[in-house]
Amino acid sequence: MKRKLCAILLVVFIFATFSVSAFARGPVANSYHTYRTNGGENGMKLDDLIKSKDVGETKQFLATITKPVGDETTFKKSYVVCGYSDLEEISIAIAVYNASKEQYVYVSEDSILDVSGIFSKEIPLHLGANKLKIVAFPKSEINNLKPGVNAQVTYFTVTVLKESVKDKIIQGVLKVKDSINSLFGN
Amino acid sequence: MYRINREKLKTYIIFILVLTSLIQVGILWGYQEHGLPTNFLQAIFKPSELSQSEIDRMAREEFFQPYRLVLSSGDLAHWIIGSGDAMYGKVWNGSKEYIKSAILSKPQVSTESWDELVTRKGIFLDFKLNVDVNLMKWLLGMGSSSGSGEGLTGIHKVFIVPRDGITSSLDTVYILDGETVYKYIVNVNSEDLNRETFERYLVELSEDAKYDTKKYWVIKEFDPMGRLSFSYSPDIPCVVEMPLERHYFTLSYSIPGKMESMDENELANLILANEQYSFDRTIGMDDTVIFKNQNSIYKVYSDGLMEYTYISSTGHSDKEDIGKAFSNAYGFISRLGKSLIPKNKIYLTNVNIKGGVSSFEFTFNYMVDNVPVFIEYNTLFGEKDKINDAIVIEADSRRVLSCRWLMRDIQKNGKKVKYNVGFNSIDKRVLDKTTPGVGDISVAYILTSTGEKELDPSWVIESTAGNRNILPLLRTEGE
Repeated sequence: MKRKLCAILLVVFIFATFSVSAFARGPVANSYHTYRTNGGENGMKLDDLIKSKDVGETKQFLATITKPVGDETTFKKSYVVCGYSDLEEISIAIAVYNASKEQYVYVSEDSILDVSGIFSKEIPLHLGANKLKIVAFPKSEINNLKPGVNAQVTYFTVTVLKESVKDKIIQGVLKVKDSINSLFGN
Repeated sequence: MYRINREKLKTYIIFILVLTSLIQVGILWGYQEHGLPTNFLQAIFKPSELSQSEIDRMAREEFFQPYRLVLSSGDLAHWIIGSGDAMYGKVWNGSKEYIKSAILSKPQVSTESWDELVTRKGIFLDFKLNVDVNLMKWLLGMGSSSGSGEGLTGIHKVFIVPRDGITSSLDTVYILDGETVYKYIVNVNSEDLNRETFERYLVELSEDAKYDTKKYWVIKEFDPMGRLSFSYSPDIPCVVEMPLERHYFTLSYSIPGKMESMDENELANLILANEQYSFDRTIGMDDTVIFKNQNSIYKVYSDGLMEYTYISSTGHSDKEDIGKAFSNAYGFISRLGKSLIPKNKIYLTNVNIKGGVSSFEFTFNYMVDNVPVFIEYNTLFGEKDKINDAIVIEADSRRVLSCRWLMRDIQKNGKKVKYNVGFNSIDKRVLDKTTPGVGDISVAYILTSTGEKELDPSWVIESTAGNRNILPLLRTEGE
C-alpha cells in the first residue's frame, strides 16, 4: 500500500515538475512587457525622457510649435508656448533645464497638457537663459516613448532680460540721437 | 345802382374762384409732398426742427465708428477699446485727425507689409469694410468731392504711429485699402492722441485690472512664421494669455411691440406720421400691410420685415454725392428707428456703388454692448430670400430709393455670463475648412429665423470671401 502511495505521489511530482514551465508562461510574458515599458532599450518613460539631456531634437511630426520659433529674448517673466496638432490624443510636456541638477525639470506642476487642435500654454521663466524642452507624444504611449518614432523633442532658449536693460537701450538711443542733433543741428 | 351790384358780384365770384384754385393747388401740392394742403404754409412760417448740417453731424456721430479700435503696446498686448471706455472718445477723435491729414497728404509706397505692422506699437482701426474715399471724406467733414485721397480705392484698416521724438519726428499713418498698404508722413500731433497721451493710455490699460478682459494678441503673434495650416488675416484678435474668459450678456429680441399688432392705423402713424393721409392702405397676402401713393410703397410683413420702394421715375443727377446719399439714408433710418426701435445701436457694414455711381447701397447691422449681431434669417418666403443684414438701403443725393429692414427690438437680459474665449477653444478643423482664408474671428450674436427668442454669443469665423461659420461659445464652469 505504501509502495502504491509513493508511486502515485511520484507521478504527481513528476507531472507537476514538467508542468511548471507551462504555468510560468504568463508571468514570463508580463515581465517582458514590464521590461519594455520600464526604460528598456525599446522605449522610455516620459519622466526619463524629460530629465535626459542627451536626447537629440526630432522633427515636429506630432505637434507644430508656432511659438517660440527659435531662440528668443524677452523682458517678461512668463512666456506662452503656442502650436497645434492635427492628431488626436496628443499631449505635450514642457521642461526647463536646471543647471544645479544637471537635468531638465517640468516647468510647473501642470506642464503636461492635451494639445489636439490649437494649443497655448503660459509658463513661468527665470531671469537669464531658459533652456526649454518640449516633448510631444501620444497619451496612450506615455510609458513607451521613442524619440523620433512616437515622441517629438524640441529645444528652445528664451532669455529673460532685466527691465533696466530696456531702459539702458532707450537711453543709448536718446544719446545717439542727441549726438547726431548736436552735430548736424535739428 | 344795379350796375354797381353786378360788378361787385363779379368781384366776389373771381375772389371765390381764385381761393378755390389756391386750395386745389394746395391739395395737389400736398398730395405730391405727402402732407396736408397747408404744409407749404407751415414750411414758410414754421422753422425746420433740424437743419441739414445738424442732420449731417448726427449721421457722422451715430453711424460712423470703427468696427474695432485697438491700442497696441507692441509687446504682445492689444486692447480693444469699446464706446463705453473713458478714453474711447478721445482716441477716436484723435484718430480722425490723423486719417484726415493722411487723406490730404501724398502717399508713399510702404516697404512694411501689413503682417509686420500688426504686431507693432500704435493705434489700429478696422472699419470692417473698405470705406469709399469720398464717403470717408464726407464722414470726416472734409467735403466728399474735394480732390484728395490720391491712389486710394478705399479705407479698410488704419494704423497710426504718433511721433516718439526718438525714432521719428513726424507722425506716421498707414492705410490698407483692401490690398495695398499706403504710408503717410503727417504732422498732426493731436492733443487727444499724441505720443504722450497714447503712452498714458497704454499705462492705464496695462495697470488697471478692468482692462485685462480687453487684452488680446493678434494671430500673427501666435504664429510668427506662418506655420498654421490655414491662411488668415494677420490682425485677427485672439485671446492667448490669461484670463481666457470674457463676460457677455444674453439678449432677448422680438418684433417691435408697436409693429407686432399689425394694426394698420398704428403702423401708418408710426411709419408715415403726418404723411399717412396721402397713402392708400391695403392688406396683402400673409397679412402684409401695404401703404402706397404715387411715389412710394411701404410693405410691412408680419415677421417684422419692412420694405420701402420709391416708385416714381425721376432721373438721377449726373454726379451723385455719396455724402448726401448717406445723409438721406441716415434720415430715413433715424426717423423710423426712433419710432420703432429707439434703443438699438446700428453700425455701417458695407457700401456698394450702384449703376455707375447713380446711387449708393448702404448696409447696416445691429450692435449691442460693442458686440455685433449677425443675421442669418429666412424670410416668410423661405431660404431663397435669405437676409444677412439688418438694413440694406439704397439712396442717391435726393432721396432714399429703397430699403429692406429686419426690425428687431433687442434687449440685454439680466447679468453678464462668463464664457471661455481662449483661441485654443476654437475647433481647428473649422479654421482649416474656411476658404480661401480666415478673414476674421469674433464673438457675436446670431439672429436666426428659429423660434428662439434669446441669443447667447457664438464664435463667428468669417472667410476672406465673407462667408460665415458659426461655432458655439462655451460658458465657463459654474456659469
